[in-house]
Amino acid sequence: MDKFLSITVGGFATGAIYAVAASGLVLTYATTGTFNFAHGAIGMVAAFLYWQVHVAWGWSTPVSLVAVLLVAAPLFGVGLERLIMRRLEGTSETTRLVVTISLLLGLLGFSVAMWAPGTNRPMRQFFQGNVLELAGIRIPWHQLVSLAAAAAVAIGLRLLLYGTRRGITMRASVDNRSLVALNGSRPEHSAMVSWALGCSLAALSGILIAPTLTLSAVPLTLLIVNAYGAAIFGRLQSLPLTFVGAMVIGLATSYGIGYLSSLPTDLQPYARGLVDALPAIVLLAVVWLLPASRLAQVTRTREIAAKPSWGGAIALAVASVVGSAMLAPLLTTGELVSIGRLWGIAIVGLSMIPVIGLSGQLSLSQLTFAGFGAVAYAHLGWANPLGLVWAALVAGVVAGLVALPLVRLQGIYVALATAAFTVLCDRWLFPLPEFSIGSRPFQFFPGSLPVVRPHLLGIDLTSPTASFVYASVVFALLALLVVAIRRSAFGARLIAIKEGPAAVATAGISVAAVKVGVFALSGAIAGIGGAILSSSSPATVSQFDLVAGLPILLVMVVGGITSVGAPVFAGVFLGSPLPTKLMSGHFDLGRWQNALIGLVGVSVGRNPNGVSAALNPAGRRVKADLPVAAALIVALGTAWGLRITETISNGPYVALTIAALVGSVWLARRRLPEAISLAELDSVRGVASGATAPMIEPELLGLTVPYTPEAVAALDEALDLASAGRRVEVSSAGG
Amino acid sequence: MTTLLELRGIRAGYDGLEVLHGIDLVVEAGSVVAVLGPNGAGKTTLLRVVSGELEPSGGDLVVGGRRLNGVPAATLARAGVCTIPEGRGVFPNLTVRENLWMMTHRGVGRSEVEETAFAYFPQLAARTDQVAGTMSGGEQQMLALARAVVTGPALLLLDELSMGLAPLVVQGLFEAVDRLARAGVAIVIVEQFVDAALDLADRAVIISQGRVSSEGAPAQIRDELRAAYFGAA
Repeated sequence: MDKFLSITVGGFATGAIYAVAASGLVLTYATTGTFNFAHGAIGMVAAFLYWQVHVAWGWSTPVSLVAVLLVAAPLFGVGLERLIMRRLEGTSETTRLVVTISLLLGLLGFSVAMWAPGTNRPMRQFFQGNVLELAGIRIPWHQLVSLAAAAAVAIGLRLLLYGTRRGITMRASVDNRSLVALNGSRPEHSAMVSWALGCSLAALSGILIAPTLTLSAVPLTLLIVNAYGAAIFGRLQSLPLTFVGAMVIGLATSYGIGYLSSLPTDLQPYARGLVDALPAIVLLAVVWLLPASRLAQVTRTREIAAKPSWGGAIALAVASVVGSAMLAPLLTTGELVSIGRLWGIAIVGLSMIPVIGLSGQLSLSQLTFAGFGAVAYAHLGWANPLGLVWAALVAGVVAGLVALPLVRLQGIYVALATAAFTVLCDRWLFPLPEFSIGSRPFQFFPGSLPVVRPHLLGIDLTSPTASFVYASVVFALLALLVVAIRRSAFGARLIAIKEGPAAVATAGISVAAVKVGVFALSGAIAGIGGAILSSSSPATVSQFDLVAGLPILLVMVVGGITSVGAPVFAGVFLGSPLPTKLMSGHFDLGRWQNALIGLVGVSVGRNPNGVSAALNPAGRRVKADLPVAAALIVALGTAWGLRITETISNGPYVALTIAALVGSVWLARRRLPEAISLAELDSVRGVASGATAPMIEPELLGLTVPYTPEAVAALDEALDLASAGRRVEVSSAGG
Repeated sequence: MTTLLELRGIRAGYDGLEVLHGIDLVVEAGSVVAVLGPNGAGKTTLLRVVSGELEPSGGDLVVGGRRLNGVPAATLARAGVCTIPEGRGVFPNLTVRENLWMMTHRGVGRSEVEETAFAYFPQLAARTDQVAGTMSGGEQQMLALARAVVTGPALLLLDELSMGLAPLVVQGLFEAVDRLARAGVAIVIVEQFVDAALDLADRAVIISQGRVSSEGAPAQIRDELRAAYFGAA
């Protein structure tokens, strides 16, 4: 009984810390509309900072607390709002989420760079050694401090949000920012207060939880998943329900950990991961039980999913394969192994285009689906293309099943549910010890997966060189598939469920079927990516976890999440040593890579359509200028010739290639009179030839651009109305 | 009469696309000016300029004798420019009482705000703790108008107050606006219900394609509109 009581009190104390964290999360979401994925990371950095000033520099407890909770954290929040969050108005939920994910990675990278991991940094509990004896149970004062902090936060927030004009303004800002200004208040001040308070609450929870764990960056950051569950319990609005949720999660984990040892010894390894994943399970359960979101009428953002042309897609596919074939012979086996992940990562990135880019479903599980693909590929062990089919099938089915309960939900809830599923797989399913299915023993990841490379139509693809080129061929085919999807009626439906789900439903299309379909399809593509990843090097569980998946999403969004060029960017950046090599000797990129990715990611708010969209005009200019395009091809070929004959080494080769690309853009721009805009360029080239649709902004047609039949035809083409019109004509003629 | 609001050659637009091409308008203290015109003429843009939501790209926005180009909306609101924007001018997730508390910025206490508002609109008194978004459209506009009642502004800007409401409800709202006008509040009213707006107005302007195309007494404007729609008699 004493054990039960003391575990219960411990559970409440842990729940109290989750409540503090979750209330900060709810506060920023409910008052600014941005779900801060980096909330846990802010708490983590605050805990490290507290250790720095209190333990390393010896400042007293009160001074350290004031410095972190009342100075550093609020200042960080204010800076965050002024420099980043304020610029996110008019962007989609995906972009906003990605910006906070960038922040998470940036802070994670920052903390690793500042406080090298592996060093023991003990943090004492508050009033360590003091216990309160109550009815036979011993309660450490730290737990009492946690409970008191949660109570103070609960009362304080209630008074602030419902009793003060500032608090009411903070809530009103979510409803209608411009109306707040018309009411004589400044919504930007409210947002600043929200972020400052949110960061302080994150810091408080970080400082309270750190002494009960080890002071380590990733576990502290991911602890936020526990708070997500609580926040969702309160539907990201209700603070009382958030507190209830936090207590439920606190108690569940406390009982789980407390009674794990009571299980039979042979069962314990199977249950341990389950206890770790309990908060994720609670989160999943709550999300599944949530009532269906109302279908949004129309979502207007400044993000555009441009329709890719077949010409461009084929050029990319050919360039990927030819580029790989040119590159592979230049590399040593060791280099090929380290660059081998490029195409696997690129395919996982590609899988994000239909589900996140087009349909706006924020799946954070793509790399987990890739994990299922890798497991299927390695276990079914068919070293031929059928192995990839199995990988696609298994991952597609898993993704479809994950999507089933999510079809009723939108936006952030999809992101959180998929994050919870990923955490469940990371912590429990994938690391499970061996078990039997029927009479066959099975283990998802027996240490690492065996590397399986195929024979195809009698061609041996087992060498690293052949395998690398084979991977690029798989990528190229899948990229063409994604372009075909985007150009198809299904692709139009995907964009429609992102921009106007209510309109889709009223048009008689099942939003649920489209969502499950796109999840299954994207899951299947990711599964192939996983198979390709595991065929390049021995795959382990950690390669497929949540933290590993976030940079891919981030680089995809930075590159342009609807563009098939972005996955190549993701593959090169994350799956090859190229960026590290380029910087070697000048800058320790490995150490700062995540921080840099984070910094780049937070800039997404400025250009939500990504780098690809920004580069597109440059590419078109080069393509339009035949002499420059020819010169570029000659320059690229010459550089490769110099490298293959070993006249130059890798460094100058990469430098020459980049110089050729940048130079051609510069030259094309110089040769084109500045006065001629791209739209004019297109009209000169002639729309009737169907080579490229001109870039016309529909709103401006007839206002700043002449309203010509050609322009209308081009718009119809861009909107897929031309073929629809033809179909109608054909069917009416037939009838 | 003193001039409260003066627009001199106001130019404004969105993303480089000019919507207003030089608007001149004078509103005397305590007078009611109806701004009429077809869809897309620039009426709402004009109100957005006056309320401070949109900075004009040219011309002068003069309120109370001071040029106030680029002054933020919140500052203008505190200075006595009250705007009821197009759509429902309330915060749908706040209760009636909390919506009213948002209006305490002019140094008026909470209880005073509630008292004044409920005296003007007794229907609201029974709904103090109801979430505004769950009220009928007419009640929501009443709550929005209550802002003008309790803050005692010098200038009230009304953008399509009647939009989507039944004629009987609109009549009630216009009576409230009339009471405000008689209490000396200057009002600029943009309205689809042309007759109701002209009944209320001391003066009317017609805006067409971002320019003032006609200006005069309500009776004169009524005749012009009739001629435009049905041809000269």
